Amino acid sequence: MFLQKLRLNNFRSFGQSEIPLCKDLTILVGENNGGKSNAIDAIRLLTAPLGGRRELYCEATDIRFGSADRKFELTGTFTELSPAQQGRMISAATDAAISGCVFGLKYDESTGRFPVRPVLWGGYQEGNPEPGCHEMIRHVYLPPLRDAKRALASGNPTRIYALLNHFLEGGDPEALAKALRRGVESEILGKVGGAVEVGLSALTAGVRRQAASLGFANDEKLIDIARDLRFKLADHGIEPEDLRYSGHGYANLLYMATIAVELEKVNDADLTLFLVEEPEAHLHPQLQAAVLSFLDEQAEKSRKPRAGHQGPAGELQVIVATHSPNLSAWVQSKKLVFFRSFLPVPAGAAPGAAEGEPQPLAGVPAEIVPEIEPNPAAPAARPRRETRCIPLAALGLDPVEARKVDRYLDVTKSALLFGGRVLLVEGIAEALLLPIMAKKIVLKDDADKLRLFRSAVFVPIDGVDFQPYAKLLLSPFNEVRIADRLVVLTDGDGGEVAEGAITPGVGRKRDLEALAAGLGASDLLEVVINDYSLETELVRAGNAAVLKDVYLKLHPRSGDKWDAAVALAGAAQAVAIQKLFETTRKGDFAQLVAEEINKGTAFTMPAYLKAAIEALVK
Amino acid sequence: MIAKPFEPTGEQQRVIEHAGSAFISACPGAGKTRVMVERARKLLGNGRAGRGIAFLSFTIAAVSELEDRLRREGLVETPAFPHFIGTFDAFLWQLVIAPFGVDGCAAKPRLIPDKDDRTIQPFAAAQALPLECFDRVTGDVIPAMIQRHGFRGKIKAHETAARNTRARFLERGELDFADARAVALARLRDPACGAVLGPAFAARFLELIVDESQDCNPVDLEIIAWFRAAGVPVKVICDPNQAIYGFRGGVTRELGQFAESFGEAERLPMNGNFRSSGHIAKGVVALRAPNMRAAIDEALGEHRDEPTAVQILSYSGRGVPSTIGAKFQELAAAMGLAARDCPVVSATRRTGANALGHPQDSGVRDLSYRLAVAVSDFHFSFELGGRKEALVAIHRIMLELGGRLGGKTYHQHLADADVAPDAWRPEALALAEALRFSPERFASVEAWHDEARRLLAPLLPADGQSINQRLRRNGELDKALSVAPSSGHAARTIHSVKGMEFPAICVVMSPSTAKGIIDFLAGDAAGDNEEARKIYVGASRAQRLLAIALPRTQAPRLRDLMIAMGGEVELIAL
Repeated sequence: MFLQKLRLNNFRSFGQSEIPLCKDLTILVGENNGGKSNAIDAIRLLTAPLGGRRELYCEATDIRFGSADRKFELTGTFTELSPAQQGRMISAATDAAISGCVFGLKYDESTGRFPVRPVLWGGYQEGNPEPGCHEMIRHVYLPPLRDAKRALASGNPTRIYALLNHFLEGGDPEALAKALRRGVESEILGKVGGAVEVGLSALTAGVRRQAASLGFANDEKLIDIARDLRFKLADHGIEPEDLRYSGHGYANLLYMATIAVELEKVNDADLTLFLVEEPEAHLHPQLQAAVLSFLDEQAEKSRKPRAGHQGPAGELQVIVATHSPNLSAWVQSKKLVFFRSFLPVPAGAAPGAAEGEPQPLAGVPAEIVPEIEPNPAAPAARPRRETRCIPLAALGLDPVEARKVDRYLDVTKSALLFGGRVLLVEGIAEALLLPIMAKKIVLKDDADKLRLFRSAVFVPIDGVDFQPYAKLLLSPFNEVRIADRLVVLTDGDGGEVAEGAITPGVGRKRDLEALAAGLGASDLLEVVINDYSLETELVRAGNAAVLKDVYLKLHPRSGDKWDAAVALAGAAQAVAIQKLFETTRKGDFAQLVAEEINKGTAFTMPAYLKAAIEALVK
Repeated sequence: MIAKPFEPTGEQQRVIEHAGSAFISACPGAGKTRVMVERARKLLGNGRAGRGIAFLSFTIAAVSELEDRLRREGLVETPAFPHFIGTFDAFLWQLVIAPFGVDGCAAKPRLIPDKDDRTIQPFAAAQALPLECFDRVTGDVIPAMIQRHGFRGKIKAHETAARNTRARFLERGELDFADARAVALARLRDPACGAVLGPAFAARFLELIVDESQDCNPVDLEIIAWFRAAGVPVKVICDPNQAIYGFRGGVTRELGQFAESFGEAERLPMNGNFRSSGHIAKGVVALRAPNMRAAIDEALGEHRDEPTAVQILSYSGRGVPSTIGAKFQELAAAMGLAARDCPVVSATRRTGANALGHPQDSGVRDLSYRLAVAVSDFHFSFELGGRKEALVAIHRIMLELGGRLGGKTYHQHLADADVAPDAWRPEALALAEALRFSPERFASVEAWHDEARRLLAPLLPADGQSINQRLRRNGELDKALSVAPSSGHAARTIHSVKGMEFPAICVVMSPSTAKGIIDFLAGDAAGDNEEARKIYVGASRAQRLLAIALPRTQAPRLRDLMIAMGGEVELIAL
């Protein structure tokens, strides 16, 4: 069984949305304020916490702000039930074949009853689910660390790991990460137990002599230990609230300890949804992937059928909300759901009218143009931003394209998933040069546009295979696309092309524009090409002298070679210059050129680069 | 008091240990609840947590008692999930009907238990008949039923109206229990649905235990058979001598056939009586059908040596006299038993109330009279159930006066308007208190009547009849309101005490049923007699003192029958 889709209706930043989820692991990615936490909270409201203690309740402020309709509804549809699960979930069945089950939570202020009691319903008849069956689906919520202090103050023992952190000293988080990678649960617990003991002896040495008097048993679960510890601390007059967090190394360790402890408990439920928010806030980058791959493995392992077992299945499903490119780079694209803020077409606007076009966020991250809500000055009818989701699996990439995207979306490129204005370039050289050119030359007198330019995402794709990226960025889903504007900057590569034939660059441009037209995104795509390649074009624009200086810095004895190549003309020159760069690292070269431009050395922009910069901020 | 550790008899042990399906016939006081609890402990002790047991019975009282025991023993938690503890009807409703609805009907199914009470009146001048007078399948009139309502004339228009009414009910997804069973069985038997539901139930439930199975009707038995075929072990526990739910369609013949579908090793008896004295255990055997008296249950419980004989109270006259209650009180008091623990039971509450001299319902359908009866019932009820029923009656009268039912049945109205008990009970309670009849508060019946009119007048719709027209003077009111000194004994129906036990009980046969019952028990009448089984159910509730009241003409016959079973019996003429 797993949560197949989550429907949110009039909930916080959501209008009407449906988020599809994957069986083992789903990563919710997107800009800040994109609505990821709201989706996580929706699951927390809709399911019972594994530990039994609810931390989040429905509130009036969960209704979409400014909505005249004073209610919201959350619906979770689960699928792939085993016969035993069908038997337990029968009162919440989605159909006569019990191919799934569905639970909904309705919060309605308009009933006039106070306090407003959210109503849990189940099944396609939206009836009363059998008492208790809903508790077979649980969640574990791992909040961002920045919330830990507040959570601690509320006295919730599951958050005490942060407190324990205070007492732990020394040790190597990396070793634990390696243990996690091997996925041996008991070993981790052993390590954690050991670590806790070290910490406790440190504590007791300071306060009391005998560790035994604290009454901890070695095999006790960390949560219990933490709870007891809190009491003991209070006995000793220590206010946990006064403790400060220090040393992030052990925050990592304890974070993982919490995970391990929670995993011990999942066997009492049919399905446990592991909700991990901003793991990047807890974990060293190198640990993030390790922890998630551990969870992913656990999820997969939890689904192995156990012969003859008809009790709670103990299945695990992991949902991670992140804005760390590391994590999105690490999983298959089909497991990613992209979140973005979207301004719907105002009601009553003529469809097709220029002003009536959807007005996306223009690629400006929320930090730059903060959404001011509530905004009392705004008229009620003003359309409000809402969260829209794009499941990457729904974008119609064929298997080959999907594989390419998975391969290409490494740490350096996954930033493109943050959408907005995206500039795709072939290599590192363009990526290094364009920002400095925009700042010093093209946009030096236009602060607004320069700001827009800076908010854009630059992605060198290390090649010319732009097609899968363009498809990913421009495919529409539920009125929204990942990119608001896509500029592709590519070389003409006309050097060795037969007379009369089109250059490879022209071919790429034609193909990309056809793709965009097919996706209804012609006005969002600009493909800028040159005749030959970056270095040749820089020379042709009249910068031969500057470039020669730079070239000589890298190859002090190759002045003659340079002169010979530059002396040629047309295609021959291009071929010769390309040859020079076969033995030169383009990145190093671009770096030095960028330094020259930054110093204020006179430099002439090739027209196509200027066009690309202007297209990106249009 | 410290409870003795449970030491099961050999028969009980076999039932507790038996894996797989079984048909268990248990005598009264056989310790069924205890055995079910031990069976659950055995099943759940095997580390098979997460799977459930379905405990089903036919009355809420029986269900609550078992649920209470299971909780106290720590075998189930709250909520009971993944177990299911409830009535057979609730089980079907929650797991087979509510999740899937009714095929061909878009509306969400709703339970309207009193659907058959809906009046059928095809045109204004026509005599109103309840829907139960018409066959639920064909819609044709049931002659015996309209005869009871004294109907004369053409029935065609009624039949058409009844068919339309049933169709409309179904369109709205409104089912009563009989509909629900039929819908459930159809769904289970549907090949596609059954293929999913069978494995699902088999995986979820370790066992399906159906207590009081003698109250199953043929459809219930077919449903149980379906579960057995689906691979869910079923335990069918019953006492054929206690089948008293003929009105629900319960039948003993089908139960016998059903028992035969179990193999010899799957038919387990439980014949030890842990409840009654030896005299009672022997005496009540005479109350079974003549062919069911072969086995005399052995008294094994703490009261087995109680010396008190079974008391037959012989009364004269055409009605049920209050001297019965007085004598019973005397007998019980002599044994040191508190009156409130010792009910007077009979097939109808009216007979029992007569025996105790309580005001009772003479059957008149006048609103003033019904109000008086409901108010008296409320104040004369000793158990919560009776008070709740009286409050429902008061609420119903309030709704009728206010013209709020609008052609719907009471339960239909509650379901439609989504009325929860806490919304109306305070009002009904206040009315019951304000109209409590006592000489200090009301000088006369008329004064009470005036006060009732004053209190209820505001409920009337604006342009209807006046309160004086609605709450008419009624000559019988003084009977309904009489304040007979209460003996402390409660009058209860036999159905309401099913499955319970009391130190003393008085079972009253009315003059109209007594001869038929005794003829049947004496073997002078062929066929089936459910009235006799009711007497058996009532009588077998007794632990120490059993009194049976019946007319003078039949009393000696019953005494002779009972003495023949070997216990002591005394006859007292009133």
